[in-house]
Amino acid sequence: MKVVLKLYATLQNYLPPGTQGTAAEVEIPAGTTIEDLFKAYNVPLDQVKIIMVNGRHTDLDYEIQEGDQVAGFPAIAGG
Amino acid sequence: MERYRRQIILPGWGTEGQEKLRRDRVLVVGAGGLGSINLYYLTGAGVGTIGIVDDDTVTLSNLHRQILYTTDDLGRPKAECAAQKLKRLNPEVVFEAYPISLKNDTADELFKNYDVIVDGLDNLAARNVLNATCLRLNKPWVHGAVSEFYGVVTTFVPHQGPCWRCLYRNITGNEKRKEEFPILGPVPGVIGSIQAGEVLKLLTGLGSKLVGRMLVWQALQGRWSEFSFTRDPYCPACSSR
Repeated sequence: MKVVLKLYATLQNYLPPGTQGTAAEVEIPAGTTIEDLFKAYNVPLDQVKIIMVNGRHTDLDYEIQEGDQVAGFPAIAGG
Repeated sequence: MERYRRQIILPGWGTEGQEKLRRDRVLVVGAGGLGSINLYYLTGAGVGTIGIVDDDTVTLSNLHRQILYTTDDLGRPKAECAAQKLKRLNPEVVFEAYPISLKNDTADELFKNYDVIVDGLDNLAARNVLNATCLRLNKPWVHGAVSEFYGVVTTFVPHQGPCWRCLYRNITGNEKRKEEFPILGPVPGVIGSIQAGEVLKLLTGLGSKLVGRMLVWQALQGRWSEFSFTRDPYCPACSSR
């Protein structure tokens, strides 16, 4: 099934090669969790401080549904 | 008023807007990369009273981005140095310098006399204090943060939109300050400029604010993204549950 993976700022480097911008449509098997998805793209889990699906907070064990927009955001702290 | 003529003639601003700004009080917490830019624009705009909180001193590695300071300022306390510099930019503004760090037990006293708070901080733990204090005192604040080639900016209006912990629900407040982060000098310039614009919009009532919307600047790609978020019903800071 197709879902949208959005990774921001320092996490953007983990999007599929050739991605323009912060979002990529990716194909995943049914039953994939957010943790599975992030691991498949080598996203360092300890750096993901915000996880949202369709604009709502969720956790790594959420089972992704067809068409979901999964967003990962790091903590940006400098000033 | 000649000093402010070019903003007074802005649609919706006028001499009334300028007079209001003269009575307004803004607190800038952190006078580093983001703080420098915010302080410059807010001083230029004629915000009546500006508080500057920073317990740090100017170092050589600050100068590629912290445009308030020069080589002559090395070793000087930032809060006092900034106030002195800004007074030369606009002698009509009153500056209140606080060479202290933001602490939970003193933040209420510090914030209570200001209308808007500006985040120029460099760590998560202090932002957690800032967020909690603004929620308690019902103060709007403008968040900015930068690292490497990236910067984010959003505005929080307590109880009218999400708070900072609605975004970072997993922050504990015990996060250690990163001593040194890589940063492209103009990135805090970009983000600080947008923050200052948000502050002026909050004070004048003009436009729609960046509430529930975080802008993300990605300098390497030359792209802006927008990250929308809502109040977290389970937010550890602002939820009543």
